[in-house]
Amino acid sequence: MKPAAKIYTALIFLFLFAPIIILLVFSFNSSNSLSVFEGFSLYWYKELFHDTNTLGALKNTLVLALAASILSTIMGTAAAVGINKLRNKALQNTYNTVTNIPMTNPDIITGISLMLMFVFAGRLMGLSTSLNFWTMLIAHITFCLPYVILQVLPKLRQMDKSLPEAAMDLGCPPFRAFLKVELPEILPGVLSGMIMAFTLSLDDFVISYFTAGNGFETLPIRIYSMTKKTVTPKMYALATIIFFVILALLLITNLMDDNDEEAKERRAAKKAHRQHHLGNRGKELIAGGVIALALVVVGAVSFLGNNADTVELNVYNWGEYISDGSDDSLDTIKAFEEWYEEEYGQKVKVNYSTFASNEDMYAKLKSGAVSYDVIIPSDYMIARLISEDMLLPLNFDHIPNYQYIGEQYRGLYYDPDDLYTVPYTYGVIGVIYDANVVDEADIGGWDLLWNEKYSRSIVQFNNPRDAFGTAMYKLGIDVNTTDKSQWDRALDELMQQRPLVKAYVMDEIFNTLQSGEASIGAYYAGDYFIMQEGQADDVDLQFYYPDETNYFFDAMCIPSCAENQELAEIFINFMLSEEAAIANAEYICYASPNSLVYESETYIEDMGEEAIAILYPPMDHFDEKYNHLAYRNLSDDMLSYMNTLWEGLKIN
Amino acid sequence: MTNKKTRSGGRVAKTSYYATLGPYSLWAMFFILVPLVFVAYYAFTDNNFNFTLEHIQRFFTATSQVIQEDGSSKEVYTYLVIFWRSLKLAVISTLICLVLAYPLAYIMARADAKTQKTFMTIIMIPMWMNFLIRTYAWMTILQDTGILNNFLTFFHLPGVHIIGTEAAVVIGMVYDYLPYMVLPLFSIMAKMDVKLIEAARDLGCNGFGVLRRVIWPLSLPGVINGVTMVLIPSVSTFYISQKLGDGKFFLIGDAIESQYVANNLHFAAAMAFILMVVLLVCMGIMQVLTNRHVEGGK
Amino acid sequence: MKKIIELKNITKSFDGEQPVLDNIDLDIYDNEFLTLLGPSGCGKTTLLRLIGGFETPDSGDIIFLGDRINDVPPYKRNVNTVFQKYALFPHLNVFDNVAFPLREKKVPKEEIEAKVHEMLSLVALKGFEKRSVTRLSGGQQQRVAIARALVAHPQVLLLDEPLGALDLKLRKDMQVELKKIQKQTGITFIFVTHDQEEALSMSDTVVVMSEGKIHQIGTPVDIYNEPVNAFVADFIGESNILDGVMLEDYKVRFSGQTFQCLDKEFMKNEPVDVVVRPEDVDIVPVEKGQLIGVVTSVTFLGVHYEIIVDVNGFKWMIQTTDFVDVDERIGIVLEPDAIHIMKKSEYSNLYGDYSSFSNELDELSELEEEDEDE
Repeated sequence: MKPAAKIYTALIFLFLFAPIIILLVFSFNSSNSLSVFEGFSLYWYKELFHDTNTLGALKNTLVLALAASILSTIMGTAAAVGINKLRNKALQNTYNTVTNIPMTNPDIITGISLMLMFVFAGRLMGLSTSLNFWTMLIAHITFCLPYVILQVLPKLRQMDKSLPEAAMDLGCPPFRAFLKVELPEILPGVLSGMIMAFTLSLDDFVISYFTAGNGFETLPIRIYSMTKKTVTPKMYALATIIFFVILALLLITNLMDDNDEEAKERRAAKKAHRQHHLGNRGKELIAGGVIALALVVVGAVSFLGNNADTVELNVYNWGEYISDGSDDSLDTIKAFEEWYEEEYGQKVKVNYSTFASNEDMYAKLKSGAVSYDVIIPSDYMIARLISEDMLLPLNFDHIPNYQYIGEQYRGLYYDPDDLYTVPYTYGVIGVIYDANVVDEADIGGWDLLWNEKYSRSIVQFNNPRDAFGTAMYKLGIDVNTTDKSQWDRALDELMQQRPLVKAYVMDEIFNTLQSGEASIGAYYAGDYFIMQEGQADDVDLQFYYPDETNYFFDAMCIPSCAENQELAEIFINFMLSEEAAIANAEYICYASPNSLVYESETYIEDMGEEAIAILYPPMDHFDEKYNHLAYRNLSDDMLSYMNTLWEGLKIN
Repeated sequence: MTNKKTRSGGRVAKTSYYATLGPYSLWAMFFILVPLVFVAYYAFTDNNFNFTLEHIQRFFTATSQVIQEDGSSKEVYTYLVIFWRSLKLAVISTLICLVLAYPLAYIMARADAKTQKTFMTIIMIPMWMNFLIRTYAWMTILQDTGILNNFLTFFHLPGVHIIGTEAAVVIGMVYDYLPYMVLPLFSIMAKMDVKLIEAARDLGCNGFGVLRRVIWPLSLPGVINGVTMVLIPSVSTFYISQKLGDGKFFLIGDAIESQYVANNLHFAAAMAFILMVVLLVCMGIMQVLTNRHVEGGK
Repeated sequence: MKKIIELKNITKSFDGEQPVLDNIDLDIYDNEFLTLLGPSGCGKTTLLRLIGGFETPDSGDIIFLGDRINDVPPYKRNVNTVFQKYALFPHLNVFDNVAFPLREKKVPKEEIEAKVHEMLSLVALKGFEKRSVTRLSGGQQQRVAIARALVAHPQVLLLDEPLGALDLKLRKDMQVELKKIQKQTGITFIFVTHDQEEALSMSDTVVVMSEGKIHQIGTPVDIYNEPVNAFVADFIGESNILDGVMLEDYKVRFSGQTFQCLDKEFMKNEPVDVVVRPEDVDIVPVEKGQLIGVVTSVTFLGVHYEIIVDVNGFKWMIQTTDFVDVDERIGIVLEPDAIHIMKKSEYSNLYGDYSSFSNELDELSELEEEDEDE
């Protein structure tokens, strides 16, 4: 290779591996920042191994990828054999065209089209859930198939067509002839098709996003739904581990191939026949091993799924919104499972999935495609769910711990008679700013986010409700107004702000503010502490509440599609118990409405005085203030109007 | 009439059609074709599944105010602007991918088998790590206080502002889809006979002439494949634009996703349907053009 | 002799096109070397594949030792095939290729060893057991294919143009060897070729086919000397075919002359095709000739000259050892046993005139035929 070629290749590879190097380095960061390296630590690896949900998602991802790649390889190879045998040109072209569809159709269309069909079919069959592991598997097989077929077909075309006939002629029935003669010939194509299918399935996010159902969360979906909290370096650690495992695997197979090649050379010298034989055997063994392993795993999964002794509970929550055992905390889900088995003598399996937004959750629930036993949406969404009859009234006999919910947190607008919900957390949106950049004189109120002095240092919410909210609180408009002209006013305000805005963000705000990329942004109070932990040396994040701002509640409720109400209520009750509630409150870092928490001395001590002061701003008439300022459910018409305005803002 | 046919056919093949093509045919029918019918069905119906053109109409007629450089505002067609922007960014990314991948594929094709294998592996490895996480990592590289700018400042070079610009979105697309361009180009170039190049040189072509008159026409099928495989995902992406565009680039993928999240399935389907039709037409035109080109080159 | 295979009224077509085989009747006897001969596209390979079990006839019966086997799949037929390009299994070595059918039959290991070795020595490939088949020459691959097809002792061996890919010298050797193997094993060979020389030199019986029909079945000598129609006459060797009229028994008139011949039992004044083989024509001085013509071309072919002579506008091909020059006027004499009379057929006037003849063209068309076979 010429030096110029070498340099060129090196540059391209550098480009391809730049983000991977970043992942690698920051997985060893001692702070939670993804842009400021503060010191070497294995903390995030430790965290990762305590995070059963992420590991579960990893397992799910692998199971799905294995099952999808094996099944699509089997079906795709068979199809390729059939297509290759077709004599009719028109028919052959038809098959080629159809095979190309999933490849030339954008993922988003493949995903949506399958989702629409599954949901429709599910409704026709009257199923409570139409999206589950199997629909996801079908989707993955569907988009893997063309790649397998396209890998196998050329090998078949290269093969001497009389080989299978020769085998049959010599006494092999057709299927045996395929296995003994054709398969060895096309094996390289079959294997590379399978690897390709596995790779694509592993990396797929878009199609999974649309076809994922309850109880089966894959890694990409889990990562995507980490938008309320941030993507932690834990994920970087996971990616790093995956990287090294793959590297090791590739090195091993390469070494084996090299041996194989050496054997071939030696065979050329008429000596090493036996070695060649071993080489082939080795490959067959590996292929067989992988398939067997995958079958065992898939079998085990379906076996576990069908285990009559185990009851299942499907929980649907925000990403990173429950204590998961990291940093020596209590893994509250595991604790529930253990407690339940001890108490009731029966195994329970909690299938925990996450969503990225209320709307995301609502879309899934409304489609009738999923069934969950416990969901934890926000207030305005609860109001909507109640109005649409999508929640079940709770039986508080099973939730005695409800007594610990503070008086001021009851009877709120979204559930005035306290029939459907048990509050989980609440929070307030405040303004976070970098004291090293922002003048003391400029703070207070929403004006800071419109201050031209800080042009391009301001970040705004990347969702319409919250973004419009900031403008409306600033203008003193009722955030729930049905007066469209008021919404237009808010849009004008946002339009004015747009040139000043550095970025529209959700979870990215953590990284943006921590690194000093931007200096002003509005976000949830508790998250401010998390940001502060990983801030860069020259950044000094501070926090204040504007006078009028958003208060939100996230509450546990049971959707009407729930299959196990009593178990769900027991789960809710458990989450109110002291240990679990404190663990969750400390993990999530938002305020808790549970007196067992906010009156607990250990909790106050753990969080620190300053944090408590910010999380629980002193207030005389909490419920009044809340009912006045919280988001309410908007009508479809208003929602649609808001979305249209938002799109208008975004295309600028 | 000819022996050609007798060779590949026969009774055994006939019965095995059912076994080999049967499952796939059913699968393709139910999970490839029927779902597309559903997209069309949803696109042309309202919430009560009555026929309507409302969603298609909305796509072409909805307008918004855009503030121009001078501060005055102008009315534009919302979704057409979004769609145009998506196409533009996707086409730019595809071209950059092609320009970057072409020499690499050529270098690989001329390397020995072992190097080829190694390069392939290197190109495939990033695909095994989650695409969301890799995109996230790009964010920390490209931002104003990010690794790239730190690097530049360290060498006393002026910093660059990339994050939140079209350039950042394009970088993200190029990064994510470059392998899809390299692989088809490589596979076609590896098959190319070196003797053809030698022959062209022998017949008096200079380096560029060989590229233009021999290598390029012969690699066209690979180029088409690569362009398709990059253009399609980049035109419909919604994660890259969210993360690297600082949330400022609303692409057609974002529009579809946000309508899906807003539980507006029918309008989401309508946009998906239009996207699908436009892409089909594009692919068709490309196919016809290249067929003509390839035939003309013969 | 025992009939081993009977084909009765076999018709076969593909995708509703023109039949590839049209009402074929053929008996094949035990221990015979039978050749299916015809130009490409004549249906001979399809016929072979019907016997092998790779195709089923649209109508008609295939009888194997008295049993109808139309629906018996290939792996259950006691018939093996040597494929055109051998179809050796590339992932198996020579030994494993040959052992393949025995292993399918679950023959004990020691027996397999013995039989494979026996077969390999029959085809003179002893010592090549461990060799990969991809590293063998064409001739060696051919032998492996034969050994593999014979090792399980089929009652019939089908050979689909097996020598097509070999060069001329090797081809001649293999022809001899195949014949020898057939004699040694006593297995019925059904051999497909479009090469008439090959057919004549190896076969006990030759079946001449074209366009899905059988024209003539007979020994090589019969086929050559007594072709039934102009097609066969032209396809087997070179022939001059002229329009003639049978005046009475033993008397035929063509080219404006009346000739003595050995044929009889035609109607009076019946129009016929007259076949004269180029080597049967005697060249004499002009004054002694029954016919007189002008030499238009002369080609030296080693053992003889091939000359084209224009006799009243009809171009004759004549093979002779005497030298004549272009433009020379010569006389032609035909002995009665040089003249063969055939009934008129649909092939009359299609063949047998050398007015557009050239060696080069002949070769070209042969090449094309092979291409079609690909």
